[in-house]
Amino acid sequence: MKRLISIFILLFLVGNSFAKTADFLGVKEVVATKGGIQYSDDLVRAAQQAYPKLAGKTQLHHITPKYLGGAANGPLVPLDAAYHQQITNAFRQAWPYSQGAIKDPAVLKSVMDKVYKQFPLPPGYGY
Amino acid sequence: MQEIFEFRIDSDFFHLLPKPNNGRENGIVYVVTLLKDEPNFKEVENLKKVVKEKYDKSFVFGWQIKRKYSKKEIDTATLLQMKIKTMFEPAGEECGTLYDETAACNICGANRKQISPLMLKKGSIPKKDIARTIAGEVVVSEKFAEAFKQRNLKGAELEPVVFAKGTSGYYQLIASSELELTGNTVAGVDPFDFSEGSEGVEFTVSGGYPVKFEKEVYKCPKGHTIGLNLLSEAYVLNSPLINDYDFLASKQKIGVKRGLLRPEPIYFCSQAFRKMVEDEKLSGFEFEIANIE
Repeated sequence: MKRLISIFILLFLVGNSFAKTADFLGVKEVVATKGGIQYSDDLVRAAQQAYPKLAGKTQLHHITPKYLGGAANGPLVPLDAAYHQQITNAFRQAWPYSQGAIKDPAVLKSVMDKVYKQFPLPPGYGY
Repeated sequence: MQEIFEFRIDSDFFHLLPKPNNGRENGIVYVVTLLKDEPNFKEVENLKKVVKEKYDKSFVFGWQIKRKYSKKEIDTATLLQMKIKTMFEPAGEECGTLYDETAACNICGANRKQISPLMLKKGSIPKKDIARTIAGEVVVSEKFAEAFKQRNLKGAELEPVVFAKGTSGYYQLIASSELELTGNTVAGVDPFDFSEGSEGVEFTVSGGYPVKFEKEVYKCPKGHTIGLNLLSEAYVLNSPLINDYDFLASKQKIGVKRGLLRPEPIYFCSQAFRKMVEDEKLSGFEFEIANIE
């Protein structure tokens, strides 16, 4: 049930990406901009509720996933593992891992735009 | 044979696809399956152009083509395409496998030479009898290796896969012989796009991170790589090798050099190979009919 509620909260926040502010069940910190929602602790908390076993662990995320052609030594961003899982899920929904088909960079751009608009990355990393 | 096209449509634009359709929501996309003769198949092609022109976005993200055969069709085929269902990472290159990149085509990146045993990370190989890394390295289980040898099948070199601390119990599967693909083998970017290359793109994702993709070649002028993805069944030139061997690879490759990805061959096998997979209940395989010309 908790998981369902957290998913609902997350969908609500994502769905309100053009709102000036989001205020739902006490969740306030998400500030929307013209380009979409921004990274916030609330997004991470919602992810942690969806994936409690991953909460609190830090994983490095390849900004361009390797299976889509990102370099092994490409830029990395440290993320809470639960939030990382949601980003991974979104990429694999758009483009199943073992499907084999490889897209051209123009489509990759659209996929990355879409995923990172819903699950923004924290600024200031990329090492 | 029935060809079923699966498209993963951006949820922002799915409403443009005429109803009724069998779209199923899956997170950020809707998954739609279509036959080529359905009106919505043409509509997907049309909407792909419209969304690109109007919004500079992609209507379709992922896609795949599934081919369903009757038992008679698949049982009577002389040659089969062997497909590997499971992929994993890290790739060999990330685990210490050495390659001579100077041997690779300087245009498409195909045919680099592996100059060390395949090294992989312990615990990363899926529990299947066959799987491939994102870089196209093919790994088989000990069960597969034993069955292949016991049945006296031919055409495969099985080299031990190495972990950082010792042997793995897995083998790298390499085809010892190659078949020539013919011009009827269709490759392209997707079912509607037969581009032979792409210009690079640069953009910034949320958080302010720049992303850059270099210019890419999908159809190598030297003939090494024929396209980004295989769109049709495979067609090969007739060769005595087809009768002599149970496992073969195509000479021409499919794919692109991008990050760890490299152009990869199409794999072929005999009915004896397929029988082994079925008798031994080996996992991770799919078969399609390959055409001989």
